[in-house]
Amino acid sequence: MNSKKMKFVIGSLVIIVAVIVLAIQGMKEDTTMSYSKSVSEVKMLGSRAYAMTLKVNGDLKKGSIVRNNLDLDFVITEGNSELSIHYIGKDPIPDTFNNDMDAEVIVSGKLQQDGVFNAERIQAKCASKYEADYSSPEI
Amino acid sequence: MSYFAYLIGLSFLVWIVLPLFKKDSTWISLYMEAEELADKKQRVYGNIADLEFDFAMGRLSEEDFKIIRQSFLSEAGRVIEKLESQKSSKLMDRIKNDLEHLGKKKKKKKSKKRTAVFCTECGTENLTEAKFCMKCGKELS
Amino acid sequence: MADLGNILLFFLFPVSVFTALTALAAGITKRRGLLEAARRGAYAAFAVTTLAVLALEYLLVTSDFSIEYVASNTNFALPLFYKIVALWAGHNGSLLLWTWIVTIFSAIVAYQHRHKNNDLMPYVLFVMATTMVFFSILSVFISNPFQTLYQDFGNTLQEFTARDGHGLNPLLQHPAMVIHPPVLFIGYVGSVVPFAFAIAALITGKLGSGWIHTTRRWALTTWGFLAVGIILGGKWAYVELGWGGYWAWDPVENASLLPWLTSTAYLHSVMIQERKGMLKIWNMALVISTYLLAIFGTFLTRSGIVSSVHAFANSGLGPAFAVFLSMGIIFSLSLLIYRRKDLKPDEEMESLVSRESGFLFNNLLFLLATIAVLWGTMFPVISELFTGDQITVGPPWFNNIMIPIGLALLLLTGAGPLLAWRHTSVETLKRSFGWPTLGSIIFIAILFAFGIRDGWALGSFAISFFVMWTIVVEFVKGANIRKKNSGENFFLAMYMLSRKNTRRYGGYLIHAAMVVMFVGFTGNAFNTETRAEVGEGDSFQLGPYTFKALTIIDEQNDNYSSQTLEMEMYRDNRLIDTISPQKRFYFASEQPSTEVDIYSTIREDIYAVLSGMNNDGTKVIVQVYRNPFVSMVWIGAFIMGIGTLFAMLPNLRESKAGGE
Repeated sequence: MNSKKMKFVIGSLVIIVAVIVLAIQGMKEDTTMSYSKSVSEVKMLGSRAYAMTLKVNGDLKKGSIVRNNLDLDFVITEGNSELSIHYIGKDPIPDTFNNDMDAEVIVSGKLQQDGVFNAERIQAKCASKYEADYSSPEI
Repeated sequence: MSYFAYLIGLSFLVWIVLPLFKKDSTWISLYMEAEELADKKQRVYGNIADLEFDFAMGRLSEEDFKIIRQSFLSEAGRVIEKLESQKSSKLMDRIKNDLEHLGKKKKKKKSKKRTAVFCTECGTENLTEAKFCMKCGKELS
Repeated sequence: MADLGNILLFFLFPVSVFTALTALAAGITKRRGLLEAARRGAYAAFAVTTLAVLALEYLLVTSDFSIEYVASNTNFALPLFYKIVALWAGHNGSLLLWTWIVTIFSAIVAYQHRHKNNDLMPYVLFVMATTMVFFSILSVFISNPFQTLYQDFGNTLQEFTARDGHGLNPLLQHPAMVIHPPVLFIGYVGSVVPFAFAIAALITGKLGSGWIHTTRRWALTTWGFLAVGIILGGKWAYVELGWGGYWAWDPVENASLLPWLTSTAYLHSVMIQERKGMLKIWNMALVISTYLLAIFGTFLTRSGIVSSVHAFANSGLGPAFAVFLSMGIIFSLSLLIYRRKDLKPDEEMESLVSRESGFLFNNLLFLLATIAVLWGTMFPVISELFTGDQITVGPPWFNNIMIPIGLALLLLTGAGPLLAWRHTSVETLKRSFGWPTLGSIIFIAILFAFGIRDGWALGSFAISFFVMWTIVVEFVKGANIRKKNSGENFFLAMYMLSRKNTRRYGGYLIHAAMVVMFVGFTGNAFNTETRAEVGEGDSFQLGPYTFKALTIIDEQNDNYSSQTLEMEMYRDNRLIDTISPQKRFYFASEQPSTEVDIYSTIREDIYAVLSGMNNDGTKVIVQVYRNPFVSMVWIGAFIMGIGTLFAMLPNLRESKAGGE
């Protein structure tokens, strides 16, 4: 390998290493990584759950939404397991979020010691509902 | 309605199958080395145009400009010469074309060697691997 | 009509199989008849698919609710315009659209080359027809848009006709969403043309720049459509989703970005091949990856393998895509390996400070960006495979990597064109870079004095300034030189100059557009927001702005009912505008939808969302964002479109010698 090639190789390596460092550094910060779990899986994690940023999916419990000023509380379920959610995020909540709705919800945030889940973000799965079950109209 | 659809579909099928039954002929592949040369010519011309533009925009010194331009010009000259000699022997092309298919690999290696480096000092043709000009001894880039 | 559409769509399958086989046979035997048959196959595929699309459109427009697709995506009250575009509202329909675009492109390519490129064409048609076979299998057998509606009556399933349809997803009832999918699809599908020619070149061994010249316009068009499609998606997210931003590193967004990254890399690296005969394998690899990533993007959107806000849940298409993708990867990879000896470079790199070296590093950065985005997007799948835990990496991770890469690329945008091919001496380097660099440093100082402290933002503004400077200098200098030689006036000289090399100056225009967009992206560093609960007459602050709630209006029409908050917006006690965010409830789909109101200037957007009502129903909750420079993103996108069109114009030739 001649010295010209060497220069290119070294230059490229510097860039590649820099990007890898950025990638690994990003992975360490726990705010950027979240573990996807269902409600029952969260229950099974026990005390380990407090340290993790979680992304929990479950069904919205009908009629559980309570709004108080800017606060929002609700419950998501999966089978018999339930999880109380307290919304602490800043973004407006999704449109599908409504007490009368069947909605599958994904909340991101952290589980508190008191068993309440502090959600930074709420996503409601909506678009797929159009395609999925087709039950309402009749002849 | 559905008969109509089948009718349309089937008639398209018939239409696309028809050419298979016509009197047939084969085409002859274009001569590859000619294409390669035309490619090279294009490249050298593009390089010269770019070089002149870069120089006009003040991106390289006059010295560099003259040296590089000279090497491009001699390369262009050789490519054109080759192209000319091919045009004059179109019949040879046909034969070469057939030979090409027979001894493709040999030909490839030969044409590789032919791409040479030109000395920027005296214009002598040198092998690509050469580090110094064999006539005047200037370092080749 | 449904039968007609279904049967014609079905014919696409045998036609495309026939096309693929005859094309392959034509390539091997070089018989004209076979090639002609394959060509006709491409035309026929286009014809039957077009008729099928028309049939589906007829069903949509006439609201035939015995068809599942029509019933789940439209309703009677839906405006005609939205009924028409409901063709790509659901996934069966969008798949049909995809298929249709493939057949359109195949027919165009077959027609364009009906008298030329006989050696390459059989394999080109073969590759395109194979893609058609795959998509016809999907839309005929797996997700057929002509599926009739069934209902469970006791124990038996029976066909039935719904009284009214579910309606179009309210989120999709927006102009940007109407054109976003087709534009993006054209971008995705367009990548098949360069891919087909690349594969044909690999098979036939005609590896010169012939295939590159032939597909130059296709590659550029595809690239432009992808770019515009991605930005339209962002625009849609911004005005429709109501969270105040346009990009969230969502898997589906990433999926569209990936082929764009590789095709941008290709548009640059191809210049090295043209000038120096280097990077031949690399260019092939980029074209191949672009196509595979486009298929992968469709796969990601349609299979729901990584959950996303777009959430087109599992649809059974996953395995089919996985098989097709792996076949594509294996096939192209083995061809590349087979031809690796013929793809050796003709020349070598000469200097670290040269144009080609700039392109090389540009490509390295694009490659790393592609890998990073792919890695981040697939991380939930990768982590589940290795640790059993599905771990999602959020936007901060992407930003952490992509901001530095993006800025480095932006810097190259300015620096690269100033470098000469082959070698640039230190002397000329000083001459070209001195003033722009000094200018940017002064610019940073000024910004710093005005109180901007964010490091990345300062860096980004400085680089933007630098790049813009160099681009303007390129145009002005070039025009002056031409003016001197030709005696034209300055503006005519600039016009003639750019028309004589549309590719170069179109490229510069696109670079300038990127700068404008980067200024818009950088605005994100200064976003502020507030949330307030207001009743009539209440007011609140955001920065220098005061918002005063006037009234809350309830309205209703056939399609939806709505609630609107009317607010007056003051800046320094001066009334600027009224701003009225709205919340709608669509009857047919039983879905609420947020209609944001945006007061937009070049400087900043004021973005208001009505997020809901408090429990007793007397007050509403409103969220207001102040987003600086967002309009720059859209303006940049517009300039980018113009630049792309300009780059596609043929070069003007002058009869008189001695122009430049």
